[in-house]
Amino acid sequence: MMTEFHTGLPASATLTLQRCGSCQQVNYPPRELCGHCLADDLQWQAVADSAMVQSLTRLNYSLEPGYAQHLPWTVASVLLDCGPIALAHLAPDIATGARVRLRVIQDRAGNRMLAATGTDAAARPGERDWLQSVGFREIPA
Amino acid sequence: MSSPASYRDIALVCPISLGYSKTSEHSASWFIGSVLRELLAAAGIGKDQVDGLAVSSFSLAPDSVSFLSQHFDMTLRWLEQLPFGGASGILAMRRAARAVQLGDADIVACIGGDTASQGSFRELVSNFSSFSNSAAYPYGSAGPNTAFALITQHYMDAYGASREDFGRLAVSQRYNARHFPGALLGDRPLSLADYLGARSICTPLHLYDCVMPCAGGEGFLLMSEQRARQLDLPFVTIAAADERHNAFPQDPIQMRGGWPLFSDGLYASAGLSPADIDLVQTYDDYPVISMLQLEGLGFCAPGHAAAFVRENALTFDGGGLPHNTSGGQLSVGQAGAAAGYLGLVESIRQLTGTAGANQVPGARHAMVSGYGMINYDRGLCSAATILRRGSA
Repeated sequence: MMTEFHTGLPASATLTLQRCGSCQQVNYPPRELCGHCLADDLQWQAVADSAMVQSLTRLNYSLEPGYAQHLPWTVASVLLDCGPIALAHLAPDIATGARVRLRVIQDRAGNRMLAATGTDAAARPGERDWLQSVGFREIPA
Repeated sequence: MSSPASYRDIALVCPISLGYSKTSEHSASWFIGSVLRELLAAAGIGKDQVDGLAVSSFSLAPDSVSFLSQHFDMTLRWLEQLPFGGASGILAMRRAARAVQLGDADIVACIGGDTASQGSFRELVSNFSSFSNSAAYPYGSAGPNTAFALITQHYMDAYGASREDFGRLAVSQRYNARHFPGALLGDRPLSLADYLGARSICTPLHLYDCVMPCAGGEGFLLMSEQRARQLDLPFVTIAAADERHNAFPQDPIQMRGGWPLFSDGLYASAGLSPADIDLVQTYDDYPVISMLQLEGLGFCAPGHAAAFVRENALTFDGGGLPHNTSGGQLSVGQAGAAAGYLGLVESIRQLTGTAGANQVPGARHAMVSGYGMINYDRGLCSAATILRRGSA
């Protein structure tokens, strides 16, 4: 994807989100104050990357050429075990209700985004093929 | 929790809808000013008699309502700009009503107006909010279609609603639009087969589930009942109105807006029940959201809107519950923030008996609902009002 997005996600091989030092709530999307207690004490920390797919859609349309060339494009809404709701790029062959692992990937323009894959520690071969075919790469450990 | 005070002695008059076109060379201020001109003409008053202006627009920047006072050469004593998308009209009405009740203004023009050009929709949705920019738009960049596809799919999974059920809303609204000259798509018939055969946009949404962004303007005047009588203007009154923002934030997928939190109060304030409502205007950016409104406003139980639309005629002349009687946004077009005024303006036409070919005979009470502001995964603003035909 050649468009620059401002996702605010740090470059980390493990899922890293903002946790409040005051009330421990994990916050997403990124922000400056804790949405729960409003404390100015958010810290980027590794969080559990497990989640469940709530709903999914196959996009047959995109306003950005980087996605338009890869249609249909699958996006899911996932509920993270650590609390937040997120949209994520969805790897092939994953259904609603499935348990997934959220990985931070980087596209060709350097945008860091969330991708939901199977729960294996390493991406499965089919998932690696998918990441490669759409120009995504995992953040190296 | 306290409930809103009465909206007694407030009149809504002079419904104006104008200028619907797919794109326009005109600016948002042209649409807003043109609506204002038509409001003045309809009311038979001069510009100097309007001392309040409430405006909603996505495309007015860098101008704002204060700049419009100079542009339109008006000295005003009350201003509001309401950036609440599909809830803007009802929120403008509520705030303007209080201003008039308390003497901060005598006559308020409430106007939604937006222009549209090739590419303007992308500009709007690619920089809509900080959460949308960071956590929604980067994921496939399909604009609000993504969130509504996810909500629609979840609704289908949870309740067994089918595409045919959503299609009933779209098809009945197109029928209504064919009797409303202002509807952009009113000259194109739409059958259920057409609806089902349309191309996929974002599963499970297909072409006729998605509104067409366009340019246009909507507006009305708000004043005291006494003033409306003095001016000899047919009017409607506000039997009840309320709003909620960010209701039920713990629902992982939006299954309800804020309506269940206040709909009982609306009916209690109005002294009515859902069976007394003669027509309903929901905010139909997507059919599933109309279903959430039918449920949240007490026309059926949660999860039962699909059965409701199967069992009840929704056309203006079907003898059931007339719904989105001018065609709604799905058939009129979504003119940016003006879409948040569309249902209100159409209801004023209906309840003053000035609707034309799509008139619901003898309509006395209308439920109008608003919904807006998709931050990243759901709409945050919910509003609704029950309007009553004014007695002359």
